[in-house]
Amino acid sequence: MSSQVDCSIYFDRVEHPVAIIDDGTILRYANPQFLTLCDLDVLEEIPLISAVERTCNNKVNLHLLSQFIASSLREPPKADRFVTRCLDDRRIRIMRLVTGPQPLFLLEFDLLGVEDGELPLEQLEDLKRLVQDQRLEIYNQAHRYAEIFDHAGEAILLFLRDGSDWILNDTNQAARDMLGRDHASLLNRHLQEFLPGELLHQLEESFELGLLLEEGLQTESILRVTPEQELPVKVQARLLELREGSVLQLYLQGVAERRLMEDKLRRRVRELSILHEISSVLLESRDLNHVYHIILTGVTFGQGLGFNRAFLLFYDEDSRRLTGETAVGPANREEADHIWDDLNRQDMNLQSILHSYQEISSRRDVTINNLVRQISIQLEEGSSRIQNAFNHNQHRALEREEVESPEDHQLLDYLGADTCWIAPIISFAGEQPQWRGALVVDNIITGRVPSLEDIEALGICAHNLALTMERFDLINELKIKIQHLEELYQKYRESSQKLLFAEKLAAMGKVATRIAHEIKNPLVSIGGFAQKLKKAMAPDDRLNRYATIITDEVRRLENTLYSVLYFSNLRQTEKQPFAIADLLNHCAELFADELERAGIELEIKLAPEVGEIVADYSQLEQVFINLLRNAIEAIGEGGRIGLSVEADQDNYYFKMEDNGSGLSMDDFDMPFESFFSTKATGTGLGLTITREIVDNHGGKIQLVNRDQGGTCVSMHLPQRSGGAE
Amino acid sequence: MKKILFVDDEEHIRLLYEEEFRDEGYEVHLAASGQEAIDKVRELKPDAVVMDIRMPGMNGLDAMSRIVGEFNTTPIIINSAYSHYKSDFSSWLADAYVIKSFDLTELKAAIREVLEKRNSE
Repeated sequence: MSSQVDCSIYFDRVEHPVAIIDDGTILRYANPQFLTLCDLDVLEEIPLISAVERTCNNKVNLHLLSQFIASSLREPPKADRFVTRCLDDRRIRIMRLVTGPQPLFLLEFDLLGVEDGELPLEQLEDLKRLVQDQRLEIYNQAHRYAEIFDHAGEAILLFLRDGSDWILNDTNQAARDMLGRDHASLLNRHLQEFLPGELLHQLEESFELGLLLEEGLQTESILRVTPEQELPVKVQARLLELREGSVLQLYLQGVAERRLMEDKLRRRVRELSILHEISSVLLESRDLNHVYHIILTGVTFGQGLGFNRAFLLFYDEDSRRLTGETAVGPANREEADHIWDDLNRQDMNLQSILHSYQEISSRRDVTINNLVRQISIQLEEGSSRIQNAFNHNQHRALEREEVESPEDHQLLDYLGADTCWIAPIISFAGEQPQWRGALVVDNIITGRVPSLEDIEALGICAHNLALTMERFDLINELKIKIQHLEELYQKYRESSQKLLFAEKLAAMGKVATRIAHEIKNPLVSIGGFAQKLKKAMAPDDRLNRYATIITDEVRRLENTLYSVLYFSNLRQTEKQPFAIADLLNHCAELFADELERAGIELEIKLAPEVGEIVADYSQLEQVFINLLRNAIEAIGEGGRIGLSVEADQDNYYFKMEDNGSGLSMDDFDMPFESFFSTKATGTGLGLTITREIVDNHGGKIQLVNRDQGGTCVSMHLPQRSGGAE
Repeated sequence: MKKILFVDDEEHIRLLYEEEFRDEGYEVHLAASGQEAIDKVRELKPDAVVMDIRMPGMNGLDAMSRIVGEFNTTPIIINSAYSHYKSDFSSWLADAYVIKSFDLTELKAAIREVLEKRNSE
């Protein structure tokens, strides 16, 4: 508080140094000669002794001067009387000018030709009145100022410049109320304790540009009441240049409660709609990479949570390692501005913004994705913030100045940031919580300090991501299970079809057996007696021919019955080694009469390496009986049947060709089906039995029409069949 | 003249066998059931028995095992409409197994064979 007096009209023109001091010897006025004596350019409110000390050519004995002044002040001279003293060559006198609790003294140096009491009395009275008036004015002004200052509705904080810092020097009542602290506890605190970094940055910029002095700065920002509590305020900053230095005046006005709530609400609604939007996109998405990108986009995009960059890290439980997977964010501020300019110009809903942003950012995310792939952090210490975040399933801030663990520093180093926020991705679907990874964000470009809600929302995004990852796990599990079930169902269908077929065969077998038995005995009688009739008649007798017809038909019926009975009893096989040649020769013998009668030539060709086979002799016999009978019946009269056998290491290859009628194309796939027969009579069981036997032996049989007419049967059998018993 | 006992429940078949095998020069005896077969074997001591399996009352296999138990040198030929008794354990006692057919060539061959085998032993 300045309390100078102005006596220039009296002393500015006198030739000797004159000053007015208070009882603390602080200079309150000095005429030009006095200023020269003290080597001062302007009046400084400093103790007289230190003022005189400054001069290099002073001829004043300081010790004596201070003694003289001290004694004069201690025992003030009578009113209106000078006390004069000679110091060295100088004559100095002092006089009490104003009495009262804050007295002022007139001090004169080098008084030439002026004797004690020679100052005209009326002049002295004028001087006293002037000084008194001025003092009153100053007092009133100061008082008024103090009143205004203290009772102002706005909170006022005065900061003094100290180096590059601003130190709190004074506060008014409103400021103390707003901060909830008393004057003493506020004094000497630093400006950065109260304001967010962004505003500090702005203030410093304006200060350096001189803008604060001229027009000041007006903005809306946050006042940090305590590290945890923030208050939205309107800030007005001005600079005062005083003799004691630069003073920063901050006028703060709390933003109205309703406005605050509105803002919060608006922000909340926006965040919720973003979260909702993200969730619905996540639910629809069928591609996990797409999901990652949506989350990262939602976290970074300006109308969302608005972080500058977002990184997705995966955690590997075995190696206890966090590694970078993918990231979204601009490489620099310019790029960031471009992106948002592009998007803001188009009036789009969130969904389409998400889409457009992805398109834009995917072209630009190359730099940041190169960065994210380098991230690899081994989690070892339990004390790191990162692990703390996982252990409590809570987001955490990592600030370079505060974190101590190397792991935390490592993450900040990878990002090249001083501050970042991490939200763990943990799923709780299993018995144990499963650490899946983390969302990491920073504001490296704008330096903006995110609100608590922003960081909460980041946590929600991470949680959403964990749920989505669980969902994808379940879907995959389900897919595998469905596939497995489909395979089982397929197998079930196949086996149930086989079972059905087997049951059909078994039922058919039972019926067939019963019928066959009922028919067989009468057939024996019919055929037997027809044979006897035949013998009793002369060969040229017509009745002999009739009897022959009966016996031929009975023979055919017996063959059919044999097939049916054999078919119903095909299950047991007895495998033993025997020579293929023996089997084929035996079959040929069986048909010798028939072949001769029909004039058919049977040619059997065995390759030298064809030897023994391990198989059921009677079943294979049945195969060749069936095949030969088939061929004979297809040929009718006069023709040839070629049967050849070859071998490799494991199999025998049989090929039987005839020049009979062949099969029609429609019949092609049919011959092996039960009861298929192209013959006018017959059961069609012959080939079914044949296939069944070949299958039982682990072989394969195929029937094709030869180009030159007739049928070709090709069949292979393993030399040692391990087929079904 | 060799004595052959034919066992069959079918009257016509017995008649057929009787005529056919008499012409072949055998002394033909007939039985219509398993029990009758056992009685006839005890009474006649035939040189061979031709036995049907499926018969009312005692079936051919049971009758055969009784006969073999008493006269283990009498050859027995099973003559059945079924082939699957071949795998029946008790059919292994038989000296031959001929599936019934109006064509008696195979049965004739089998009888000749067992008689020759019996003579040579």
